[in-house]
Amino acid sequence: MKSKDNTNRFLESLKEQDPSFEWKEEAIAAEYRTNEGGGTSLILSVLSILGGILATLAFLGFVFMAGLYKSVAGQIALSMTLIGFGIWLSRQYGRVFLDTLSVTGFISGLMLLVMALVSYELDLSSSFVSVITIVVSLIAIALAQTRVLTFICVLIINGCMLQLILSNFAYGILDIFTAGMAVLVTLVYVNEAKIIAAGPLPASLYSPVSIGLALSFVSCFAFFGLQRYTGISLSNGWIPSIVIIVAILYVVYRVLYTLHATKFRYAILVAVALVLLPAAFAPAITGSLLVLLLGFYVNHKTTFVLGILSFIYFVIQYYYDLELTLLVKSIVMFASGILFLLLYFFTNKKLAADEKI
Amino acid sequence: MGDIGREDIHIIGKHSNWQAGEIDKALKRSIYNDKPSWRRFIRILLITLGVGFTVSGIVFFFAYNWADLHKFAKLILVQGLVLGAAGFVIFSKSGMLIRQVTLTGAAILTGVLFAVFGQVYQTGANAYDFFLAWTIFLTLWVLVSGFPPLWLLFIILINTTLILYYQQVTYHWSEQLINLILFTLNVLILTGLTMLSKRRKLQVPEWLLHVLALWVVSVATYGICTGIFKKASVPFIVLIVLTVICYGAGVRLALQEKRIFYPAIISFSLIIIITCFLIDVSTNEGMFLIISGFVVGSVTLVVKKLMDLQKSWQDEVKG
Repeated sequence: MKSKDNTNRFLESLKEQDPSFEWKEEAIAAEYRTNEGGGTSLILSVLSILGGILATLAFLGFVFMAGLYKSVAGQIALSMTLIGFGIWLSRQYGRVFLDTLSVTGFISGLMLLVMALVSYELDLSSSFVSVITIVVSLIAIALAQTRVLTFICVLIINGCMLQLILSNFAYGILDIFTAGMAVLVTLVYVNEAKIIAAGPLPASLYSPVSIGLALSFVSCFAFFGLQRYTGISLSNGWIPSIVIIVAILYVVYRVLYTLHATKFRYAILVAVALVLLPAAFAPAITGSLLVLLLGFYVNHKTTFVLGILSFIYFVIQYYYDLELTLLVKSIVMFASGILFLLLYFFTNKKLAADEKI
Repeated sequence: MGDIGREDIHIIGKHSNWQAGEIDKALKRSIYNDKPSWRRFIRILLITLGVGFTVSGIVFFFAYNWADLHKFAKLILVQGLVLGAAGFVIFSKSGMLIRQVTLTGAAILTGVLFAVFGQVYQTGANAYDFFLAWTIFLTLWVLVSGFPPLWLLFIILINTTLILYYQQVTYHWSEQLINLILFTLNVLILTGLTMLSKRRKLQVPEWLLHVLALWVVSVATYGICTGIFKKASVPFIVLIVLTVICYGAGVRLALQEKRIFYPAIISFSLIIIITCFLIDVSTNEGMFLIISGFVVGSVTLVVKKLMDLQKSWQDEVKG
């Protein structure tokens, strides 16, 4: 976040360009008052979340050692109070330094609730409990509207969806869910301006929801990349992978359009498609590439770094798991390496020539 | 157009009748990457993938136990590749970036060379002396390269060598001692890089300093936390003293440079250490409630304090 003065100058310039432009001065000033001094600082959010998790663990330790879990009714009452407290604190004050407290209240309440619902006395199915958790998280997002709590709720909802799919052995649906997440993430990242303009709620939820969705998407395709270790055997993942490749082509097209690169537009798209085709059975690799590309397109550092790390990890994992002799692996990698180097030398000339013009 | 960030655009969009098309224009002008950035990105992506895959292809080729080749032929092949890559770096007229990436490739090939050497002469592929040799022979390249990713590789190698040395050779070293040595060594590297960067002798990217600082703080936290549950020893006490000094220096430096990264990770490390200390004192239910309250309270206080600091720095800039 830059300073309020900069923003005021910027507002004036917008007004000059378009006389019908109007803004709520008081609301904007209030926004700066609550957030000034690092409202958006990543390290502070990470600190709040880690602190919240640590405190939750200690608190749950206390609840169990004190035997508070023995009465289900009491446990549910306590969990509701904690969830309500977490949401209320966020909604009422919306201050960044209170995030740890509201996160601790919310997560420990939610965990107590889940444990009460699956306990011996109530014995509800895990699917039903997942649905309840999703509903509670959605309510929390709608009411609290703060960054950290929204981000955590997005991750919780994604986790519950995965739990629903996996505990019911509906592995085929994971293909469709992952493909759907690819589409959703792409649309959210590419349409930042439209979503911001859509209203106050989408505008304030945009940042935490977008990074939360990106992280959730990574967790979805990770199941395909790590099949060997999770013991959950899925399809070979061609459905999500094809959708992801189409999404990548769409983003590349948008980039070319934005940069006014009309020359070779279709040749570039075909080349990208051809390079990606061998990865058609590796949604983890194409998915990481999509995240990386989206992060760079909108210049969002966290998303970009997430994409790079997951790309490096899943490429290594892929070749490690590949059931080929080392000789064949070595030939495949050497050939791809040479291909990328050729592309580099080819485009380098083109890019350099472009620069001179 | 003025200096405007993504967050500002979101706030204005939230409280105005700004049209989507206009927001899109503002985002593209002030936030999104422009043509030169994309050019740079594509070049780095292709060159890294190219050199990365080619080098891994070669590594896999040597990992594949091809029995027909004579041992000298194997060694000559890898040495030839290392020399070829190094020759390219020295004599090629290509851009700086491709030469730096190729040098990093050659650095990894040097590891392959020692692995092949180990394979031929049966020294084992994960012995500490393999990593030691690799580290020593990279030193000169690392110094002249001016390429931070290669520095990171070098720092990882030094740490790996030390940890393997501890595991394979020194049975009489305590865990505390190796933690102390790792901490001291990495602190020295971090201090050196920070000094060089402050005196403008060397351009050290922030991410490298942050990764290194995170590693240093993790080693200190782990060392002290595991030490708390054991009998006090000399290395443990030295580690505590050094940690206190380094944390103090880290916070001081951060206050001078007006950055909150160091204070944030140092505070969190201290919170974890104090939590471990509390658990060591007692593990009954009351203590867990106290810990929960302590963590929430301390993190809240730290975040509030750091926000106030940032605000005062912002005001200074304005004033």
